[in-house]
Amino acid sequence: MSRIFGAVAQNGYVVRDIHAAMRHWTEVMGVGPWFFFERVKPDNFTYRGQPSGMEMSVALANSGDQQIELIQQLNDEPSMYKDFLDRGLEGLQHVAYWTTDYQAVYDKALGLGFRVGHEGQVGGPQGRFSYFDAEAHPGTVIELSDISGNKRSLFEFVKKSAQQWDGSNPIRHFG
Amino acid sequence: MHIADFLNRLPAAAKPDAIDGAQYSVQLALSEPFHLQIQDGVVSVQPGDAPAPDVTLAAEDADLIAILSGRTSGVMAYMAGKLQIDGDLMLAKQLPDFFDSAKLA
Repeated sequence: MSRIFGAVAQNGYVVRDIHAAMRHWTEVMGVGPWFFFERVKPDNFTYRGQPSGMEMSVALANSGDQQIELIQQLNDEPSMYKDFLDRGLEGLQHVAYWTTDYQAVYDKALGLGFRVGHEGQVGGPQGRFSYFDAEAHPGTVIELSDISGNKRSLFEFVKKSAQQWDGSNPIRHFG
Repeated sequence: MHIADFLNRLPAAAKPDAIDGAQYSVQLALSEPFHLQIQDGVVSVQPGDAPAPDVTLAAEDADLIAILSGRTSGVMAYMAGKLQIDGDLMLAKQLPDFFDSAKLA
């Protein structure tokens, strides 16, 4: 539990080949099913305050209460994912905290001195997310995600599907 | 087009192969509530709430019409926050495929 952000809800892995990563997680680690979003271009996406046309593939699955996110950036637009890969890294990049009181937690973080590395929204105005540039070692970027909109029902569905998963249809292509 | 007029065209636009064996209940949270029952190769449309829907779709009437008639991607509408989905996400994605968009244009 973070005294600032609450409980970690998601571990986010930045990978170079999301299909290979999904196969590994399903076949070797037994985690799934994966909900695969082939092309995601967040609205109002900025990197260090400047607009960026970052586009990515995203896959989501759960292991118990923990959500696992796989991200493969599809272009060379500026982002913290690209920064991570450009440092020669691949794997756990961030932990995410979810909130239905996004603006208050966001303001609190800024007040504590956190700086936004990149931010945007997916699923409408209630789907904002921000990544704070406070990395100490790989895997410690902090994501804050607003789940007061579409993301909440999506995440609940992913979690429920994992609880009921019998190993069939391991990758479910959503869009 | 009024939403009721559009929804009443769905049964005739259903693709038999696509709904063969399907048994779903879909709640539509629109300007007025409707629900779809897909069962035994037949689609029926009723006003009001379904008792236990597999999925609930919430949208502006025009947005739902655009999605079901194939003029707008449901996924894109979802990503933009114009379509809310509660329940079976994959059924929601599949729903437009149950209908012949040419019969709904």
